[in-house]
Amino acid sequence: MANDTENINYIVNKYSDMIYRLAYQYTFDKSEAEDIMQDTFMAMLKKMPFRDEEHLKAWLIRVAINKSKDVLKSSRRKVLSLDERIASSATYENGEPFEALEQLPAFDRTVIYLFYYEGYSTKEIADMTGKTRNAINIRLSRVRETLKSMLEEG
Amino acid sequence: MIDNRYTKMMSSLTLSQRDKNDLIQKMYEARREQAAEKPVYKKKVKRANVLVSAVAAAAVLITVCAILLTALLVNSPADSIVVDNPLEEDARMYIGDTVQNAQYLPNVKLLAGSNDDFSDYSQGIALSSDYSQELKSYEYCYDDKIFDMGLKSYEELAESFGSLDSTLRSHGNSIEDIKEEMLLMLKIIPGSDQWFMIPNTPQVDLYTNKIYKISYDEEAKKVNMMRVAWNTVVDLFDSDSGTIYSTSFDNDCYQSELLTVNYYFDEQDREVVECVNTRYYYFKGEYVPVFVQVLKNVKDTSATKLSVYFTVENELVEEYYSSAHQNVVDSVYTLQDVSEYGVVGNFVQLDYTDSSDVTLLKAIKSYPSMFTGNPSATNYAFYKINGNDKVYYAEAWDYLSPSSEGTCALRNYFGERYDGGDIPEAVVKNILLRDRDYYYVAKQYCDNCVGSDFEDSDFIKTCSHLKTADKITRGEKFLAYNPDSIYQDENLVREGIAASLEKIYSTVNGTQRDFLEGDGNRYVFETAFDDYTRNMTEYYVDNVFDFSEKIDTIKSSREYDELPADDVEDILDGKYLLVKECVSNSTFADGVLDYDIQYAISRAQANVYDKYYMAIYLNDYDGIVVLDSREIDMSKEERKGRLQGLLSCEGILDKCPWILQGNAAYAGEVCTGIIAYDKDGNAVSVTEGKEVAIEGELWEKESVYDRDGHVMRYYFRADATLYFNFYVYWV
Repeated sequence: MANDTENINYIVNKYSDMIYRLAYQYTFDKSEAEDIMQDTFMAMLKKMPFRDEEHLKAWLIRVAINKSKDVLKSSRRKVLSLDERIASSATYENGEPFEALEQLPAFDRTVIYLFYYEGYSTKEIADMTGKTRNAINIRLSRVRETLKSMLEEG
Repeated sequence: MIDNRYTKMMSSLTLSQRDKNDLIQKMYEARREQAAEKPVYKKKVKRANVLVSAVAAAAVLITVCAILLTALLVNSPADSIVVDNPLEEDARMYIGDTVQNAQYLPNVKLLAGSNDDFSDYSQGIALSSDYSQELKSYEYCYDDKIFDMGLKSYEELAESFGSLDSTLRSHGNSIEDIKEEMLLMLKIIPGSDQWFMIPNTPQVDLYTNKIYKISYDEEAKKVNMMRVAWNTVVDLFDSDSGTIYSTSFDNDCYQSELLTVNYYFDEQDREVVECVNTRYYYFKGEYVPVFVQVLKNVKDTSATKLSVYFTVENELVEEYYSSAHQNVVDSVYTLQDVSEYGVVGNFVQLDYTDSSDVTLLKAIKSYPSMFTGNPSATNYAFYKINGNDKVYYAEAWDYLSPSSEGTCALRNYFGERYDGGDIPEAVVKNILLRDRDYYYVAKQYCDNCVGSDFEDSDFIKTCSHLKTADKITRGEKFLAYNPDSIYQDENLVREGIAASLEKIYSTVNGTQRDFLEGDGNRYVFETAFDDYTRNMTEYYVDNVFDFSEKIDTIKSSREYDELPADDVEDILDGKYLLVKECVSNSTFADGVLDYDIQYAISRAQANVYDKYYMAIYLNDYDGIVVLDSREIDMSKEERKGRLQGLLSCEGILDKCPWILQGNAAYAGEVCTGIIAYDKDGNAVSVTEGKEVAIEGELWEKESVYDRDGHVMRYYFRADATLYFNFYVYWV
C-alpha cells in the first residue's frame, strides 16, 4: 500500500470521481467541480507521500472541501445564466436534476455524501469536519428526512 | 429507499477515463517540473586549515571511522539512502570522527547536587570505563521529567534532576543517544543548512519522520543539529533518483518540541555539547515560553548549568541552577527582546574552567522567534473554574503558524476573567486574536459585515473593516455591559472543553484522534498537542484551581463511550430510554417562545444512570442551543412530566439570552456548542439522546438592536427552519 499512495495512476483512478462528486456537492457546477478536483490532485503532488491510504483519502477529502469553499467564496466565481446553469448541472437517470440536493446547505450535502456514498461512519465524518459525532448524527437524521421528502415530492 | 436513490444519483456523476488520463498526464508533468527545480548544493564554507590538516592527518583514520560509523549503524540500512556527497565529505568525515571520539562525560550530579557531589565526582573523571558506563544512562541532554512535572516550581525542577533514575532511560535523551543521532545524520543527510526529513525507512525508524538540519560553523568550531518533530516543508532525498523533493507536511505540522544540539570543539581540546530543548507551557497563569537549557561540558564538567527561562508579567525571568562554583558568573543571559513569539536573546556560555573566562560563543535564537506569519490555525482549551468568590475562565490557545521558511509555531495564551463584569482588556485582546472572534466582532459590530451572507457554516469570517482598537473597544463594551455575556464566554468554554476532552480522553484511551479544523492544507494537531493539553489540564486540576468537580461531571458524561453499547444509533433508537409520549403545544411568535411539552419517558432497560436531564433546545442548521433543561429521576420505570416556560426576545440582544451571540438562530452560521446548564448555571455536557422534533417555524428576517442602537439583523434563509426539540441526555 505504501507504493499505492505514491502511484499517481492508482490514486487518480481510484479517487478522482470521489473528489469530483464531493466538489459538485458544493458547487453544483460540473466545470467548477472538475477544476477543484484537478487542483486537489495537483496539491496532492506537493503533499506526497502519505502515511497510508486512509491518510491520503482523508486528506483529499479535506482539501477538496476547502477548495470548494474557496470557490464558493471567490468573487471570481462565475455568475451563470439560467441556461448555462442548467447545462452545467448534473442530471441523473431521466434527466432529473439534482435540485433536491441543491436545496440543502453545503455542509449537509457533504455529510450525506460522505455517509451514504463513501460509507464513512459518523465518527469519521466528525473527525474530518471538526464537528462532534453528536452533531453529525443529528444533522444526518435531519437531512435524511429532508432529503427523503424532497425526493419523494420530486 | 432514499439511500439507493441517492447512491444512484451520485453514481451518475463520473469523470471520463480520458479526463482522468489527462489529469494523470498533467500530474506527471508537474512532478517532472518539480524534480527539475531541485536545489543545487554548494559547499557552504571553505574548509578551514585546521580541517584540512586534520583531514590529512586523519586520512588513515578514514577507514577506521567508516568502520566505526558502520558499527554505529549496525543493521542500518542507511545504505539505501546514503548519499555520496563529495562536496562535504571531507568535512563530514572530520566532524564525524571528532564526534565519534569525543569524551562525553556529563555529570547529572552537577546539575542538582551539591558542591560536595561535585567534589566526589571530580574524582570520577578518571574515567573508569565502568563508572562511565554507569553514568551514561543517567546523563540526559534534556529531561522530559521537567515537563511531566508541570513546571510546579523551579525548586522542584532542580530537585527532579537530582532524582533521575533509570526510569528515565529512554532513547533520544542521553548524550550518547544524541551523539549517535548526530553521527547518523552526518552520514545520511545530503546537504547542510537545509531541513530534511528522515523518510520512512524501517532501518532508521527511530528517526523516521523527524526533521533535521545539520549546519557547520567552522569559525565557531561548531556543528549544529536541529531536530523538530514535524515541519511544514521539508526536503526529501530520493536516493534512487538522486533528486531532492520539497514536500509539504503542513497537515502534520505539530510541533511542541525543538531540540538543538550544538557540538563545539576546538584545538584546545575543549569540547562542549550544548542542548536546548524548547517547549511552550503555561506557568502561574502566564504565557510562558519555557526554554530549558542544559549546557554540558563533555570534558570538564566543572560548570554544568541548567537554566529555565520564562516570562512573568511581561518580564523575563530566569531561574537557573548551576552546580558549579558559586562564583561562577550568574548573569549569563542577555535579554534582547521579548516578542509575542517568545524570547530572543544571547546567552553567554560559561567557561567551564574559570568564572573569569566567559566567552560568548554564539547567539541562539529562541525558536519561536524564528516563526513568523499570521496565525492560521488555532487549537485551544477553555476552562471555567469556580473559585471561592470568583469565576475564572482559563483559556489556553495554540496558534500554529506555518511560515515561508517552512516552520510552524505554537503560540499559547492563558487568560482569566473574573466574574462581575471585571474583564481585563487582555482577555478581550486574546479573544480578538482568534479568527472566530474576529468573525464574532464583525458580526456584531461591523456594519459592513452585519448580514453578510456566509455560505458555509464552517468558514470563519474575518472582518477587515474595523481597526483592531475599534474591535477591542467594541468587543470589550459588549462583554462588559451585557449581563448575559457569560454565555459569550461559556460558549467558548464549552467548545474548549469539548475539544480538550476529546483529546485528553482519546489520548488516555489510546484512540488518537486528529483534530482537523480550518484549512486542510495547513495543520493537524496530534499527539504532541494532546500531551500538552493533558499535562496542562492535569496541572490545573491538581494544583491551580479546584475544578475537579467539573471534571468529574465531564468525565461522567464521557462515560457514554464506555456503555455496553456505545453506538450512537443504539441510543437514538431508544435502547436505554424510550420517549413514550411527547406532546407539544409550543408556539413562537413576536419574539416569544411559549413552550409547553408533556412527556412520558420510560426505561427501555436497566439504565446505567438514574439521573437524566431533558432539555428543550434550539437547533438551527449548525448546532444546538439548550434553552431550558430539567432533571429527571429515572430510578423508576417511567416518568411523566411537563416542561413549560416562556423565553422572550424583546428586540434587545441582552434580553434575548437564548439567541447566543446571534449565532444560534442564524441560519448557516456557527453554533456548535453542545452543552447545557443546570439550575445553578453549571455547565454539563450533552451526550447522545432521544431527539423528537416538536415544532418548526419559518423565519425570514428579524432585526434587533443592541443598546448602542446597532442593528443586529438576523437573516433567516427561506429554508432555514428552527427546530425546537425535545432532548434527553444523561449527565
